[in-house]
Amino acid sequence: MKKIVLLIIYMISLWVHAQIDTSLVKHIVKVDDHPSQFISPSLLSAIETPQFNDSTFRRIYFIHGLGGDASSWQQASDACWDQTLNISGFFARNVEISRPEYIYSTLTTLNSAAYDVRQQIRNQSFIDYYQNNMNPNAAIMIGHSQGGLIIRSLVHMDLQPNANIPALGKGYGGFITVASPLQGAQIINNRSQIEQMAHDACNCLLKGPETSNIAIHTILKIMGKDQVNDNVCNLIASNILPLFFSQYYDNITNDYKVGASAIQQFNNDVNFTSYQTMPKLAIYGIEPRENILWRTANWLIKNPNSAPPFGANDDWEFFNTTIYPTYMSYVSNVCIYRSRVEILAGSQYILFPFLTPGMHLATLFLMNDYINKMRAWQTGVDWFNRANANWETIIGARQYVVNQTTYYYCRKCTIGQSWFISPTLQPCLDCNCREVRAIPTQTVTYTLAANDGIVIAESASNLPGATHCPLRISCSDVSGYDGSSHMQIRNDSYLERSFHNLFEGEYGMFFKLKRK
Amino acid sequence: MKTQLKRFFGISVILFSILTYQYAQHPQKVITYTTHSQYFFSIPFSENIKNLNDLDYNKMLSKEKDIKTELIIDEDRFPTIIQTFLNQPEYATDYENAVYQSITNKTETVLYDHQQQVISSNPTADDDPVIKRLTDEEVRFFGFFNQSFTLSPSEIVQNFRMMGLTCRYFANRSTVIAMNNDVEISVNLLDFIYEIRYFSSQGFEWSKTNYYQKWGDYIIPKMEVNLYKDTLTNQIPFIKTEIIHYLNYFVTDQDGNYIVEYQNKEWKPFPEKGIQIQPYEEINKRDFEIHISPNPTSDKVRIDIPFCMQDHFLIGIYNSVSQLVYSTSGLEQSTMEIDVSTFKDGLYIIQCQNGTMTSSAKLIKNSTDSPY
Repeated sequence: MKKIVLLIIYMISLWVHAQIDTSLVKHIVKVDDHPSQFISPSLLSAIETPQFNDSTFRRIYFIHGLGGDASSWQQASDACWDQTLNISGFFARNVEISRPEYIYSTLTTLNSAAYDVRQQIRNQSFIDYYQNNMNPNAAIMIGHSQGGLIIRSLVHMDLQPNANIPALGKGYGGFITVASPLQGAQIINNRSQIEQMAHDACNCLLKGPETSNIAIHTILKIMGKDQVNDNVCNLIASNILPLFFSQYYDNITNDYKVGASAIQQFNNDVNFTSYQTMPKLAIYGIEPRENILWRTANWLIKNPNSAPPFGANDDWEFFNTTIYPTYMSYVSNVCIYRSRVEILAGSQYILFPFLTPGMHLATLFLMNDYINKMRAWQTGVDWFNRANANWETIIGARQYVVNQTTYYYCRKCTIGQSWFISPTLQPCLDCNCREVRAIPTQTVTYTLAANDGIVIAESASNLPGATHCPLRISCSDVSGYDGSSHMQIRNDSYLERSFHNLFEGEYGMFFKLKRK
Repeated sequence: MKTQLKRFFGISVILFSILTYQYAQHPQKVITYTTHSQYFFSIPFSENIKNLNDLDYNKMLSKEKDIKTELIIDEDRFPTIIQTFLNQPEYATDYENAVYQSITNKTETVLYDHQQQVISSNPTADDDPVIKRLTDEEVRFFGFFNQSFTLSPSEIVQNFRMMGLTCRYFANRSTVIAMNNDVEISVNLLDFIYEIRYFSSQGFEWSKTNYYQKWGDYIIPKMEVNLYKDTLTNQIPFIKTEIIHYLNYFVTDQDGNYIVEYQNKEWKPFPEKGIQIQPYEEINKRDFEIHISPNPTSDKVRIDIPFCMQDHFLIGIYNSVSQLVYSTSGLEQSTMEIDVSTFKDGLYIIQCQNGTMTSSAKLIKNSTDSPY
């Protein structure tokens, strides 16, 4: 008897909903085929038959990115509902929030993660509808990075003919991607270069200390210096580093390599009318190029949620406390040895032949020693100097183009300098150079793309079918704005401003949320 | 009388103080020069640029550098070196250009940033072999390079041989070459070029070539070319070439008078070059003799031309009865490959000739496969 009553209640609820949106009627039968998409019937007994009421409360689903969890959005999501936080200039809204997680394993794909999230949204929407008196289809999904792609995958799934949309609807009405690689992330294509960069770092940064520490130098020399270095660096690059970057090798990331078929499928969703009308936009940040690696690393190492709400703004701490002092210790050593080389260069030739021959040779070998030490420390300095460029290359923000040109090595010139290298032939002729050799030369130029330290802006802003322009605040818009890196954007003042503007309705009424 | 004595004594003290002060203010010698450094990169001829990846190109990013150097020999004859890095930071925290000045003296090396704040300070070691008191003679010749080039070739050869180096004078190039297992020194007495090249068990490591010039009675620096070997991905070697132009060169004496006042008016800034990668031939130790490989051979033989003959040379191949069976010539080449597959099996003499200089080696032509 009880079961019959429950079934009647359940059918009535479906009927009520069918009255609201007739377009969903066709799915009702299918819903019956998949009762697991709803909460358990035992819970239904505790729920009164809901009456749909256009509540002012809305639900926001915050979906985390690669390697994240429910806490990834903690500060920003709490700020949206918790007025007790008293954030100056930001108003808590009439919202409930959810931070769904997805089952995570090395085999997880965008599709499987999206399926997990969809189940949670559908369950929640049932509760919201029947228990919280909320409109589940007015819910907003907000996804950071990979989370944005999971949303796209979820939306794509629901657009398919066999989507089994519940009678209550999809459980969301629109979505926002935050710093998502909407057209793929080059860092995934180039992930092996992270190891290469680490191996390079290991080699370059070891050289200086080992040449100047006699004990280490002697031990390494006995053990076969190059071999030891290589083994140590291989261990770091091939075994230790991948532990930190292991997520970049997970199966799910293959779905958003640049050129991945999944991305193309999501892009084709613009052909669906229901997708076209769904409110959606992309939020993305741009990190200035200055020390981009270290500033991005700042909030990779440190959890942005460890800062107060919208307070993850200063991204210089890691650079100032760790990188800069280390860099300067390398520079100091270069300067120390450079100064000695300069003094020797200014003296060694004049000493010849006044010194005894033995001393002259000793001076030459001293110079060799100093030059080798200077070079060893300089190798570390050079690594620091190119570290940001390396990172830009790995994330696809720096791309090289190679062109073939010719330079001219002009020798035995009778006018001006006796030899020089010229990009054109004419100066060789003008200087009456008796020997000219054409040198085939590869000229390498590069282009730079704006990015947030992980994803290039072109990808993060390109949401096909977006109902609003991509949202980005440029440096000139906000006084003191210091960029917004990929991780930082989850809890910085830029996000605060973006959410504020969104919830105030500047980007359409769908995203407008009533202040508490 | 007493007053006069007092006055005399007072004036003497003042004069002595002024003189002492003046003397203390004047170092014994100051050498000041400004240099401009440019960087070029090259990979071996045998390597395809397609084998490089984008991270390799990053190794070739470079910024030209302007450095002002002051070498000061103080009144105690200790050297102090002040290097001022003239490149301005591109942005507020441009750590690549953070250092403005480096000062090394007998007590420490101090780095300053562009706001003259101390970045770091490192004490000079007590036994530092470079920051030491110079002799009067060393001070007198410091900054001038006449003595390296005014000796006769035979004196230079003798000096190098006393150092245990193998040494030869090549009159056609006015050049003395001296070498041992690790180092090669070349002194060109005509063009005032002094080159040092270092080799390790892995081959070429670095070279430093100083070009000098005559300025009045003095020989002073003009340019410097430094080559450093490094490796790219997959152990591809590459050479970083640093070309340092001296934009000026000043030497002042103890009274602050200019002994040398040179301004380079020929040098012009090189146009913006980006990254340029050029091919290079393997840098081997200079050899006084001809070398052939493989030997014995059945088809092709590679001939390494003695460096002193590389500008123009004649190659002659003679059979065992001294008949010329093959001849060719070359210009500006360090190696040559000759196909000997059509030669009859037997012993041949390969002779390389440049003017009056000759060098020869034996070659065995053997058509059968090598037993190795």
